[in-house]
Amino acid sequence: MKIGMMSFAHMHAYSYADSLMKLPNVELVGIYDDNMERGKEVAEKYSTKHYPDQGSFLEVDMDAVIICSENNRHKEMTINAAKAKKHILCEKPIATTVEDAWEMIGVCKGHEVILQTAFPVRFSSPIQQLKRLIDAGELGDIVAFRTTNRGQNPGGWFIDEKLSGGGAVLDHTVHMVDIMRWYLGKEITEVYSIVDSYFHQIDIDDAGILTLQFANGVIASHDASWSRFSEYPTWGDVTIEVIGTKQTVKVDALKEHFRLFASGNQSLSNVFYGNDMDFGLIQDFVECVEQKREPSISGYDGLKALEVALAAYQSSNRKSKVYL
Amino acid sequence: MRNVVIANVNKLDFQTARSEVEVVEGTAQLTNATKTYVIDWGNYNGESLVGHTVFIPSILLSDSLTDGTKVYFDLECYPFFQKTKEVIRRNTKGIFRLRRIVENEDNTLIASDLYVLSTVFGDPESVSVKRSSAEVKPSHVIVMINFGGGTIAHLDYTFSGEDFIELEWSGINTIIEFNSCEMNPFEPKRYTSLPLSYSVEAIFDLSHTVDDRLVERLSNFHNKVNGGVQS
Repeated sequence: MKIGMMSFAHMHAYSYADSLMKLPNVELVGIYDDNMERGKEVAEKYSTKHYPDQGSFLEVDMDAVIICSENNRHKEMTINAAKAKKHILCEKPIATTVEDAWEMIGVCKGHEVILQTAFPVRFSSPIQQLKRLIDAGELGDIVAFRTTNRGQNPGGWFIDEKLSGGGAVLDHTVHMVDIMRWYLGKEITEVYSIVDSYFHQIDIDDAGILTLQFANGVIASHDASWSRFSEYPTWGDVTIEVIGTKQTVKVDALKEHFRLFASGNQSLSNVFYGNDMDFGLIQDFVECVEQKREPSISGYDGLKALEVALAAYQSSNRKSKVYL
Repeated sequence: MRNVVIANVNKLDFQTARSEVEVVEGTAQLTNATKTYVIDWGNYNGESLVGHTVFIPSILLSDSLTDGTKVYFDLECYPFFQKTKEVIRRNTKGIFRLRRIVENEDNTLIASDLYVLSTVFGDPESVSVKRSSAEVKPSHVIVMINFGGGTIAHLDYTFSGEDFIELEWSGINTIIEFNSCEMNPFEPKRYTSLPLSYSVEAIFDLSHTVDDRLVERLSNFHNKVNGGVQS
């Protein structure tokens, strides 16, 4: 299978490319990146060709593309790739507006290409195991969720609202909203949140807390932030606690680690040894294209997660609940 | 006047007590003037304790108690909370998260926690309460608070099972993580109620004298928890 990559602006592009390299049936045929320096560098790193022009790149014979641009360019690249009949894995958030996400979904459907949203947390082994426990009825009915996704400030275009569409709340809400929707099979109908910049002197939000309600009455709290500093022992966390009628189970997707102590500014580091969820995502996407099946995480899943994150901003601005 | 402490005796750490403490079943056993007596809250029926210095948990505070009674707050008495408070007070800008599992559903506990947190962060600008469906058990309550000045908080309560507390503070270049299960010094954990226990001295040191202001503030928090602002 021939796959191309569109932009390495998002850091996940590197681990996705690494994952492609591990798959024997996949060839990385080229990288489109209009950042010349970065494009050349990554093309050399992955022994492939750099295309500074999007049109020329999309003329190359390939089955699919992986889009890792700035968030505000997801729409443009998705639509162009769909028109060129390439299947698409698009980095999250799928877009910066719900309207754009609908348009992307529509164009992909019209050109009969797959649009998958990159939510790698779905491929975390403990997250998947908890899904199986819920489906097997081990927790009983779900009463509530408690989730966190807290990490470091990525800086760069992430803190430029024109390019990112939002800060930490957009960046770190969509993953866990997707997991909650996946576990429960219901949609969020009510969002109440407080969003602001607390930790960094930046013009974009770096944290928010969200209180959510699903259509069936299940409630949830979510903590999204860029509150972790560089000396913290790990990048951050991805946790979910599911309160069920039979039992409560908590999972930390990044818990599998050993503690490494060393002399220096950062005396303690947590060294993660759990499964590579990015590889799981890429492997799933490749299989999806090969088997011509529906994506395991659709464009619509990306849209619904985006809708909740954007509602959080709206709620915080209005200081009131937003109903979806 | 004798000190009489009404408490959940399972939460008291007698090993570190400096005073001479005796657990008794009722007021008839209050014989020694210099001792501290503890009556388990399960045995306390509200009988008069006039003439004694009485320390009562906030969740048992009632209108019948006279001014001068001492009230203590469960959360405030825990040694871990006192230590975390010291750190947080250096800069109160950030995100506070508290997760509690307690056996019995009790809005007074939530109101009491709000009272304690207000002593750290100041009075909240807004409090919103979201409850799980009344038809399902265990019930779960989420409290979202804006303290203003750059401090926000989420409190999560599940009313089911053994006591558990998780506290997290994401501050400016400061992160606090406490988990009562992880910080239990025993393995197997069943041999101790630590770290969710406190001494009678903590109760003496951290209790508040009941007066109109305290009662009004607690009542105000109670109203907020019971849907005074929004559900």
